[in-house]
Amino acid sequence: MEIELRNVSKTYGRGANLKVAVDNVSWKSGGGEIFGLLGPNGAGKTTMIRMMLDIIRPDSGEVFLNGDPNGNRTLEFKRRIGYLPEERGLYQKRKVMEVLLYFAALKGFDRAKAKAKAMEMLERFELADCANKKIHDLSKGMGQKIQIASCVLHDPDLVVLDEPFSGLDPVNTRLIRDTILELREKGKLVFLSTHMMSEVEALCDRIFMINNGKQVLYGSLDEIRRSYTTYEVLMDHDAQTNGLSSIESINRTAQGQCIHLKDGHSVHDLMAELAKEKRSFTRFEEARMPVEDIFVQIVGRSELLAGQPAGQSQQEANA
Amino acid sequence: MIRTIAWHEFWFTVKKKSYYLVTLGMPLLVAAYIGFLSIIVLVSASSEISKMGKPTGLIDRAGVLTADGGPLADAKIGEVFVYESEPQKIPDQVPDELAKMVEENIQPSKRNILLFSSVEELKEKLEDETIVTAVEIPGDYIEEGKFKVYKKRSELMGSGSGTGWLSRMIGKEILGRTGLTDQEKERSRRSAGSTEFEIGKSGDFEEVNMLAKFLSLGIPLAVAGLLIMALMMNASLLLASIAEEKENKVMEVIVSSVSAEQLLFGKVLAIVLAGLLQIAIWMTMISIVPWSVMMVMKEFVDYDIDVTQLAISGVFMVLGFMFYGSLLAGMGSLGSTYKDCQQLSAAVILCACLPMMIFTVFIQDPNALLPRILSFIPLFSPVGMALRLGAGEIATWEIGLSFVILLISILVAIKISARLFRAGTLMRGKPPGIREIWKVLTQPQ
Repeated sequence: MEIELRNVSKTYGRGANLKVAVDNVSWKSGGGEIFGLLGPNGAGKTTMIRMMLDIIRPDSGEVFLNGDPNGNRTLEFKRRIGYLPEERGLYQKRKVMEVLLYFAALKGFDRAKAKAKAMEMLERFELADCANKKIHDLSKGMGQKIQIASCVLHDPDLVVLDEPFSGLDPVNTRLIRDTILELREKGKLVFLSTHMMSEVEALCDRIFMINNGKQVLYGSLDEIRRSYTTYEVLMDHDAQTNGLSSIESINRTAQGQCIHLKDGHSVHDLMAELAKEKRSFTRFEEARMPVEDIFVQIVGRSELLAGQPAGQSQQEANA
Repeated sequence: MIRTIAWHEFWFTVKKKSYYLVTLGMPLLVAAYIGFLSIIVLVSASSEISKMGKPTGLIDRAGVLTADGGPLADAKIGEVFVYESEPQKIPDQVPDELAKMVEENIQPSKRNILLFSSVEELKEKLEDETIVTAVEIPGDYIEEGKFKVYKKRSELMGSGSGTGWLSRMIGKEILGRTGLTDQEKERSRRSAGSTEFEIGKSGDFEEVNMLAKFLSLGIPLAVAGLLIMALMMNASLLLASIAEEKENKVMEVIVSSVSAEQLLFGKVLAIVLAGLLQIAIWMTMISIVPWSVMMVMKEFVDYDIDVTQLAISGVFMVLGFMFYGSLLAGMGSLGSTYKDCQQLSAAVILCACLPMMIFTVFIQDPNALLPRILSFIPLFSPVGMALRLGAGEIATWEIGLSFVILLISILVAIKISARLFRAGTLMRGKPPGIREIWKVLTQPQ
């Protein structure tokens, strides 16, 4: 399954209350990958997801499913998706199994198969004894797992998870993380919208970042991190780094030495110099900027630029 | 402290959109309702006034009025005769000043009378509405004391046979005679009875059976009443279901699985089935007594249940349920809580009730302009058509047209409500504004 948003925009309100939720956004994603949707609160992530799933329609632009501009409007597509919205809940007064079977039935899933699969999911999520309990008797974390189970129960090809880790303890976070990785292994397309940057780093193949409705980052996670790397190398405490010409400065931390390279020098230059000088070391690791830092840097800069003239802010943000 | 709480609660309440919508909207709704009722009263009154000027047809087979010396001796067949009653004689005991005042202020009443020689003639004039009522004084009137009253169509809620004045006129005429027999004396003192006839399906006069008429009206009235009752009960369930899904935040998952139209249609179908089941149970439980009564009545009254009429009323009831259900779902989706939903739906239920509130208009003359217009407006037609069907013969094309309009309205209502649903279900905290609703309704799909 391949999804593409082409020049999609969506506004709410009018006049002074006009809010551009998504502004001329384009991206493409295909099966067998975990695609991260990042952005601060109110950036337009949910609106983008809703347009992708045809819950709301864009004011302009198109959403393509396998190249078809109307593909996401078909019942067939709706049956092939699993969606965990950010604002979510369950029928509080109904039983767990009843709810799971109803959601599976809405996806056209055979009842007998759904029942067997539901039990399997509940066992996997350690909730087998809750099958006949009412939803309001469950804890928040349990409810969260039930919703994730309902989302993947019908074996969808596209799974959209909006903040799937919120409210989960580390054990359950790992359980959900493994479930997501399994989906990728099965060739499913997983959209992951989260503020937990450690999960983005651990799971996402590619990311799309939106801020104030505009696209600010799009590409493979590795490429993005590399593009934001500031020529730093991490080496061990005992590494012999003194007097090397490619080093600008050394910052000694508890983890070792953080070496900042001079302008015009690459990691390869440093490695060549270490070999030439026959210096001993046990650790040599190219420093990559954490996604969290990239996130804070981009959002922080956008907010800073928001106070500047509009034209300049636009150019800066795009840069 | 109490002041703080009171002020906080008061301010929170009056700031709510639903509060000022109801506060400002209700007077407008009441004004519109009063205006509507006034139109109905005016239309009914003008219809009554137009009847008032028309002459009363008369065949005097007993010769009590048209005989020589009688009050209508000068009247000619086929010509309108104006009969002016003499002012009543004021008793001597009444003081002179008062008697003078009464004489000056009380005018003698006038009656336009059109004499006929045969029933066929008066039937023709009833059909072309030259006359509204005709009375035959049979040859055995002195012995039997009964008139025959002829109408184009008898009205269940009408003003009666309207023969009291004629009875008094005859009584006065007989009293003026000399050498009265005991029977004539008795007749002059008593009011006359009457047997009513109307032009039936065959085109001939048929005796009116008021009890059968009442029974034939009872079924559609019951159907309409049950529809309204079930609608009121199930509307709250439908709204509760929408509000529950909104409050539990389940809606977004559902609209990602099915289209808004499918979801809405599913909900409307559920309310129709629940409503029909409810009506079936109610009818089974409460119909034992009336059914037994009707079975007993059947022995005395020539009345058969009109299955076709019952079936058509049932169809309109189901369609009505679907139409109101779609409107309720659409409006319900605009509210953010159950309370909001209920306030928004009150207008829909009021529309369903309106024909019942003015049911006399439908019963008096089901083919008058107003009932006909109302039975083509889908907001009123489910109940309106049931009432009309019970009150008399309705042209097949009118039933068909009303049915088609209602059917199209259901599809349009589902389409519009689905759009509102799409906009409303994803809104939390505040309902969408008028502009937002307009945008949703006009956005190309």
